[in-house]
Amino acid sequence: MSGAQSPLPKPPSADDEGFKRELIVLIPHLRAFARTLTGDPTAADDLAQDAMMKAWDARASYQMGTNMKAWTFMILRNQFYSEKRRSWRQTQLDQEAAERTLVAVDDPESPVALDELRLALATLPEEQREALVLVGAGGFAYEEAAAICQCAVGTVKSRVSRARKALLATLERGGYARDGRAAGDAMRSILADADRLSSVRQG
Amino acid sequence: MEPLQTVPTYQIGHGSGSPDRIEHLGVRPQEPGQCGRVPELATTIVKVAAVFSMTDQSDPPGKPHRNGTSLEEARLRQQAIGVRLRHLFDEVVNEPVPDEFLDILRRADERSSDEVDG
Repeated sequence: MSGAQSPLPKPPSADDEGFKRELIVLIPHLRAFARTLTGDPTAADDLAQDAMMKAWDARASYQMGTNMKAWTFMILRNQFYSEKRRSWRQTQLDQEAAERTLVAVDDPESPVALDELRLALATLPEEQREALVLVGAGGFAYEEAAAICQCAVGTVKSRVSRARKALLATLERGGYARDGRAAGDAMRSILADADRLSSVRQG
Repeated sequence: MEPLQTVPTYQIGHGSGSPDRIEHLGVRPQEPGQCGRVPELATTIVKVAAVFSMTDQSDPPGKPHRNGTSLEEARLRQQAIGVRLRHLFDEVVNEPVPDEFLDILRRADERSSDEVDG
């Protein structure tokens, strides 16, 4: 790779190539994290693209071999909060909006548990949601999540714990009726779905 | 670990002994006629099951009165939510990445090369 002699165009450095390869691998994860932050696929991809570019521009400050996933997630999160002050505040989903949306997306064929969890997730305070997503879905240790959120490890732990309790309470309360089914079905469909998903994962 | 008193208690169905509860434990109510041809065997199974539930304290069906059972329920529920949450996230991870991402990165790569050269 280092044998290229031509001055134009400049041969990409081995570091840049390695960085780019790693960054490409992380794109799906950045998209997923962005989706949980914005709750909107289009806004999420805009955010993920911005974060990807910021990471690329800042590649000189990244030390190869350290946790690039956590580093890029931190960039994405910072980007989200700086942009959110301008544009995303008014689109944040509250409990009432979640219930309205649930009626709007009502579709007998759609996976019920997925919608219900997504909406319950959207009612959590932001800092609880991101902590839970990082630890519970992103595969980060508490310490890594604390680095991403730039807060203490204990803070992450308590946010995750509060998020779990709040989610459970929301889902068990089943406050939003769907298809006129009884309250409590939200949790039941999630339990049934978890069984199915676990067996799929093992298979 | 979370303190015990903060764990919400929850029961499926209408309380102890409901069909929901029994099904949840993997024991299905007998279908009519299923054991009808061998009534002696059916009676024996019921007797053995009764003895089993008296001696085995680990998970007596229909009696979720002990603290450990509701704790187990809460744990199960949290686990189910966890599985669901990971699935929600993984679904996006497994989506094909829009071409836009790679196009942007490629253009940025070219641009930065130009800047260094120019």
